[in-house]
Amino acid sequence: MFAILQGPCVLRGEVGSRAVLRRSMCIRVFNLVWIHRARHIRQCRLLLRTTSASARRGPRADLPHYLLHASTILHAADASIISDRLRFALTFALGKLGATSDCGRAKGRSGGMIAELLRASEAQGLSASEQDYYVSGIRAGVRVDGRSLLDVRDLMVETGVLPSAAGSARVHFGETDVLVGVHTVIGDETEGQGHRVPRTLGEALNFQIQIPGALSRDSRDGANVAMMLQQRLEAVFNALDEKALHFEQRILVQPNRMWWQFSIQVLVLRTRGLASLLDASAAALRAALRSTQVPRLHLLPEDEDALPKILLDEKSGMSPQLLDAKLTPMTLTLCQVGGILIADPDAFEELCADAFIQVAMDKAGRVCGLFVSSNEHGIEPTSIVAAVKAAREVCVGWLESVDLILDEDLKELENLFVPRSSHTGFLHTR
Amino acid sequence: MAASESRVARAHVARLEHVSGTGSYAGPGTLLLGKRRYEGGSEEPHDLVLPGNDLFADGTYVRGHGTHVRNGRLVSSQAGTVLTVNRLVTVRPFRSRYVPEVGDVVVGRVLQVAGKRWLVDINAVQEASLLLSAITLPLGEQRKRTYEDELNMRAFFAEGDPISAEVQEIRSDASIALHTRSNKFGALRNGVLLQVSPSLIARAKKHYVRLSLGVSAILGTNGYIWLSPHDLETAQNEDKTKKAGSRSDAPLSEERYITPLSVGPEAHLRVARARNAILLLNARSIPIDPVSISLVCEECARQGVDVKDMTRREVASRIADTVQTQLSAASHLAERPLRA
Repeated sequence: MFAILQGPCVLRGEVGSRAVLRRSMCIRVFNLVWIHRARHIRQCRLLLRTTSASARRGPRADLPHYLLHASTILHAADASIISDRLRFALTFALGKLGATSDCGRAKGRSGGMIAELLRASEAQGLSASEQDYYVSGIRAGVRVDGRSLLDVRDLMVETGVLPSAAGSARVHFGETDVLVGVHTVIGDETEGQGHRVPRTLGEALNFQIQIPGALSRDSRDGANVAMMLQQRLEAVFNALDEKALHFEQRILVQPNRMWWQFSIQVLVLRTRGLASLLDASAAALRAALRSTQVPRLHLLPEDEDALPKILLDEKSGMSPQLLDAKLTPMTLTLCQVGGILIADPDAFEELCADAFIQVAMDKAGRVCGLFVSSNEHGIEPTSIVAAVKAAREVCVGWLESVDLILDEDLKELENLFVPRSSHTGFLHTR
Repeated sequence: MAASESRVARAHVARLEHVSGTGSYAGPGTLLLGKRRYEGGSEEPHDLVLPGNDLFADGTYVRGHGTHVRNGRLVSSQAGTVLTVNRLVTVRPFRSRYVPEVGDVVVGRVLQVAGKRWLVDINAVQEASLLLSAITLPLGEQRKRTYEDELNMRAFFAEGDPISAEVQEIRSDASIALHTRSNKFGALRNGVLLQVSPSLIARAKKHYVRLSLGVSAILGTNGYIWLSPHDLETAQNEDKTKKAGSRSDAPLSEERYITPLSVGPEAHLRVARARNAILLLNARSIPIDPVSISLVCEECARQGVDVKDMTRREVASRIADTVQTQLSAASHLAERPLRA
């Protein structure tokens, strides 16, 4: 489990290293609670044990669960069972704390604040009166395009769009249009320094993200956005454990020595605003991975030390395996405008937002990643819980409907390759 | 003359697009490439061309914008409509930035406050400038602009503010000067700004329109559209005061500059409906005017389409098709006397 709390909600002094932002984050944050007041509260101690244990165990845990714990504590705090200091510590931990002098530097260094980038990417912002109008609409429950608060726009997924790639997908979502191609390469340990046997799917993915300069005001913005997108996609797909992909069978060619490396190219064709960028890219990446075909291989062992020779399996070589990535997640961006949570903001709603919450969710409804960024006023922990709940409904619905169609397509694809023995047509006499 | 001509051209474009969309006509290919003469005052004064199409300009002609000569023939270098004025042959592109004309009502957004003027984005090639001396002061004060006014310019219009204005002058270096010297121009509040293709908005008598669905709109000639909820009660009151004989040019009250109206969910929904209708028309390149907007809204109401579903692709195309048929039926009737 990891929760990346960015900007002001990141603890002071610990922002600099990226490692801190990953797994150790929740331990540190909750240690703070521990130090402050935990000995008085049994519930809190329970909470601490679960979070730190799960953080040690691996990248997967039931996040809404612990968040619910956190909010119950906060409710309890409201009932003045818990002292103010604990409440302070918890709110601090979950992101509600005013700007401190370190925040400015933290923003500059992390380079991933959505709000910051947004301000730079839109050449012209919204005027105060327009923002008022947007906010008043959201307060009234009607957004500017007629959606209600938690409605999302249509998501269109198309797979198999690039004939030369092992897997590809194109996604239209709102104002965003993303193309993802997956290419397969065999990686082994002898190749260069940086190659290590991957332990998770995320480690087997190499990203290359292109955002055309025309989409942003200056090229540095594009680079920043690409960096942020890559970090988040990596984080989301890193969170998958082996089971998610039949890792042993599908990705490791020879355990501990050779494996399939997937180089992933994300090309952003069109976008306005940034919120839907991650959602569209994650959906496209998932669809592309699901439809990725990995060739079947024969390994010819020589001696024990040398790497085996690789042959394409002639008999079944033309019927590649599908990379069954059913358990990979999709993401949903929510933002808070005037204290109210809305799902899938468009480019202008983004400009009015106080905070962003991006939730990655798999088909079982488990959180695979959570990104929170907010302005200097922070965000209520309860709205994180609400966001996760809302995302659960949307993402699970998406995943089910996308899979329904993808499954059919992929079955068709597999059937295409089945009758290999008679591929010579009428010349085949027997 | 230019204005009426461009109106015809736009209506024509719309009809042709409809035709090519439904396929009931011979098709866009035959139409575009068919041999046709372009002469001043011929009965087919405008047509659609693609880059590389022969313009069939024989004899003496003057090369205009959007054309070039290849193998001794005048050839279009842009996709657009052909305009001939005497022997000058030009191609006016469909997709272009806004080309201003003096007197156009535009909606823009203030980009920068510079010395004694604002720079305004009006979707033209250059940013337009609005001089401090070219605005109405609050309360309609008539006086010389002082140094204090100059220091206080952000109080009138700040960066990011949407404004409506009129094109006052196009100077010899093609820079554009705006003015807001009337009560109807000025900062816009309590609404949304939309951006559509400028070629879809024809120059008309009225650009400040009240749409039938309770929304007032400013259809800027530059393709920016301002929508705000239009309160039916206050409108009646306004009408009464007008009838009572008060000047419509009366100085503005301070209130109109400052107070935002409180808007209920129902009004937000009305604006959302108009917004989605306009974006639907824009996506299908149908000219945007009060008639077409209300046609879309009526069609949506008839088919029982929810406001939020109007942005859906299949719904949009279904509605746009019916609206196009209705519009083209109407334009056949309307255009005949115009041409004669």
